[in-house]
Amino acid sequence: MSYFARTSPGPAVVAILLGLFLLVFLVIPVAKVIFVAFQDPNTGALTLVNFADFFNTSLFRESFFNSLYVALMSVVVGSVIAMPLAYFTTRFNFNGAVLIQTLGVIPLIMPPFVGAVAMQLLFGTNGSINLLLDEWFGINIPFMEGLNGVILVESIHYFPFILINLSAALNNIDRSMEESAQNLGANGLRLFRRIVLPLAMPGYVAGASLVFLKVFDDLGTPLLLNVNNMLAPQAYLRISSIGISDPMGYVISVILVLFSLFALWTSFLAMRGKEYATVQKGGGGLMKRDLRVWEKVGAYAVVVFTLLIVLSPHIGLTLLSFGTIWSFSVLPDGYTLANYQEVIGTTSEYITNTMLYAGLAALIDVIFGTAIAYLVWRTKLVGRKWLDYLATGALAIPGVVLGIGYLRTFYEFEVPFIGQPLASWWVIIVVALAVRRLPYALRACVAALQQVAVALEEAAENLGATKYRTVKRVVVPLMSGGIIAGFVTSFATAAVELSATIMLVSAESDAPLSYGIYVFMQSAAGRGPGAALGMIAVVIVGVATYLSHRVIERGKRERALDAALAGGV
Amino acid sequence: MKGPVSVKIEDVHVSFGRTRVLTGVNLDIEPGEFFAFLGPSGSGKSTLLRTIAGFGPLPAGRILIDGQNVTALPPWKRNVGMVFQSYALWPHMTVRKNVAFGLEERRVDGKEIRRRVEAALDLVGLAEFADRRPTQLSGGQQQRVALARTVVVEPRVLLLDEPLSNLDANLRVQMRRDILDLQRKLSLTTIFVTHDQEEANTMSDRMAVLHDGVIQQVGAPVTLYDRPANLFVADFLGTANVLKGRFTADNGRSRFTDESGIEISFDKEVEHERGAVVLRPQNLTIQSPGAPHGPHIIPLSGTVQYVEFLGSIVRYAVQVGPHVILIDESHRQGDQLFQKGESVEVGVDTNYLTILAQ
Repeated sequence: MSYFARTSPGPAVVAILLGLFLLVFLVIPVAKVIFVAFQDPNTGALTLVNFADFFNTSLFRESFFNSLYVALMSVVVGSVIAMPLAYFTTRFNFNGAVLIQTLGVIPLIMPPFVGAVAMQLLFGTNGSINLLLDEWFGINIPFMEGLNGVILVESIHYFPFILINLSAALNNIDRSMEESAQNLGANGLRLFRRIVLPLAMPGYVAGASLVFLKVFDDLGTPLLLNVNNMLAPQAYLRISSIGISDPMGYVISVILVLFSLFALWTSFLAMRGKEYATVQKGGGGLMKRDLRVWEKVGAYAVVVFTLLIVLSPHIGLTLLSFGTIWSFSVLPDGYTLANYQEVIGTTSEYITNTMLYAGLAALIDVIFGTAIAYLVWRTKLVGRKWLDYLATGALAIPGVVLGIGYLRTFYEFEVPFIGQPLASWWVIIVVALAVRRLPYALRACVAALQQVAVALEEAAENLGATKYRTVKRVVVPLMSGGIIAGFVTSFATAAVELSATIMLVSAESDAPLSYGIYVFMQSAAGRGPGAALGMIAVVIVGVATYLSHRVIERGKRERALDAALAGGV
Repeated sequence: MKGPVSVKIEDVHVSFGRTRVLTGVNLDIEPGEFFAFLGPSGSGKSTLLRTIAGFGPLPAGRILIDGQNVTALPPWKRNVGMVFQSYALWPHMTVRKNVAFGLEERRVDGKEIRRRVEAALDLVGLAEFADRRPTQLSGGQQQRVALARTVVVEPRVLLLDEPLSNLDANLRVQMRRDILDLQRKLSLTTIFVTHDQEEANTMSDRMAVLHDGVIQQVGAPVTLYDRPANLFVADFLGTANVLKGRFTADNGRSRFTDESGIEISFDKEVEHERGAVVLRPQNLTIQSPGAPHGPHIIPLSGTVQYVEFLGSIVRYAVQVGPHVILIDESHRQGDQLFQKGESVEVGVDTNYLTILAQ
């Protein structure tokens, strides 16, 4: 391995090319955005005047506090939903594993903005639920009024992040942690407060900060709910209505990046050095007990109720896509296939564009992901860790910010032979998607590479294979399961991404699904077709997610078998 | 502090669902005794220890500590200290906090807690590590913290679950002595679980060998080694060559006839008809065919299968009829070894036979 690093320039060349790509399409655009935020719009001198302007404008101050409030409240509401579920499944013998897995994929297969309009029709002032409440009890609850709507939609989409992290943390607490406390005289609430809760805290904080990050950066949901006095929508509106020279969009971008970094840092700190996963011989997880009959009924009631709320955007979207007219009524007036005919007949380019963009972006991601994983973990190149940090750093860059950065950086760059600026060429959408999803693909590839024992490579080299041939014939085939999973995850999430895309779509004919949904949902008449398009997106992403799940499960089974065989040696 | 207490286990049965884990366990552990539960994995030894601490399913039968029936008491009311195999130190607390936990749960006064925590940490020689996190300590140090955390509350009984299994070989010997010293100093009735016969032999006053949830034999280590009650105990405590066959009375003597026709006569009456003879490798000798031998030695002809030179001893495997008999010869400087394939005689000394009923 080190012999190779010393003698062949191959990996260094690949590393430099990857570094250049990340420099041009991640570092420079983001640096440009930050630079412009600190630049006087007239003189070009460095200044803080833009930030002063920002905080002196009441609309921006309000937007800032609204974004903060919405993100925090989404964490609170998400926690309220997630905690009982996590508790049930880890403390009792409760058939919740399947349910947790089902809930876990919901934020993946449908981003919140897709269901936002449907949620309004279900929970809005004149929505189904309030019509029923009014008829039965004469009350009207403002579930969807202003910021409430954003909080509701975001929290029911993102609470699984808390649920999954918290459940994993609880499951990783070794039973002896609890038993030793009992042995020393603790029990009940004190035991929970002093031992279980602190041990599960890192998992909870990691999940909660992810939710905060997702909600704080989200553009699509507030836009579709017509809540514009928040940071991300303000950034988008300033750039799209006033133009790319307006400094406010950049100031907002800097604030978004700062808060994203803060959230990521919090989650990093929470997890670092607190690998409390202490499961050992004698059985992991907390002590479980059977539920009594009435407890079981109660637990199932809570779970079914939660599931209904969580699935309400999907239910609403389904109704909307098959409905004729749905207004001031509990259910649509009639049912039809016309919406689907319309979107498939007239706007099929949304679908083909999406397949093309997301497919290309995912392909780039797994190729780059595999290369970076290999360079970082299997070579001794100087500075190789920085490739990892850079690629992962894309997590902290909200889509709006990347979009603004691309517009600003590449507007003057004319693509040879195409005759238009790079910023408005469709390829830039693919690049944006690839950069945004690279961290996920990279993690999948690293995980896959770590499953491949170094000895397997050494055996191939020992038998005369060159490094290149070894990678091709041994490493990549063994990583293929992880690479496929990474491809599908990148594809699925790229297919429904809106925030960077919305900034970069310059012509309707270049637009992907998510943009189409956004455009349709703007008008009352477009809701039906918009919902149909949303359903198509859900199906595409759902199928892709299911396939990747299958691939991962198969890989796990094979590894378990390998381990069993290896154990016999 | 009150003197050491006794632990009495009366006809205890434990099942996990429909699986029986312990069957009819009866034990009397004396005050101040260092007692071992020895057995292979799955023998129920850890379950028995956990049952004494109050963990696991409610057992049938009775457990008495100092005469008090604790069978139905929850773990936090028993005041028996348990040191877990994984140590179970809480990673979110410092060493000091870990050790203070049990005293805090007992609502001991703050000043008193500080004093006793200091004393306990002194006792295990870790006073200067009080403000570290457990994860910053070595395995041996973690073990000491776990001990300190347990003994600081002055439990009536000390339970140790495989206390040495997570330590490396050198540390193990050291820790063995340290645990013994601590136990003598505190004169605590102590029960520890192990699958390692050497650990049980060196540390315990008495031990119980468990197999399939049943106690096979109870006694001092030497007694169990020299007078095993059955084949399992004989085989589990060291290496044993086992010959199965019949005993016939022969004028106040007995004659043992193995299934393959090997005959051994000896000066002892045997009541049962079928049974086994157990021969420890170190009680056997090896010599060239026809060499003279003492009156108690019965020679068996065989062929050397393999030779393992282990330094202080040489282990021979000799094919005698259908059996492969293991013989340990102590090695002295310059001794010539027998070679593989050589014809030899295995000498069975009838003074050192262990006779078992079938």
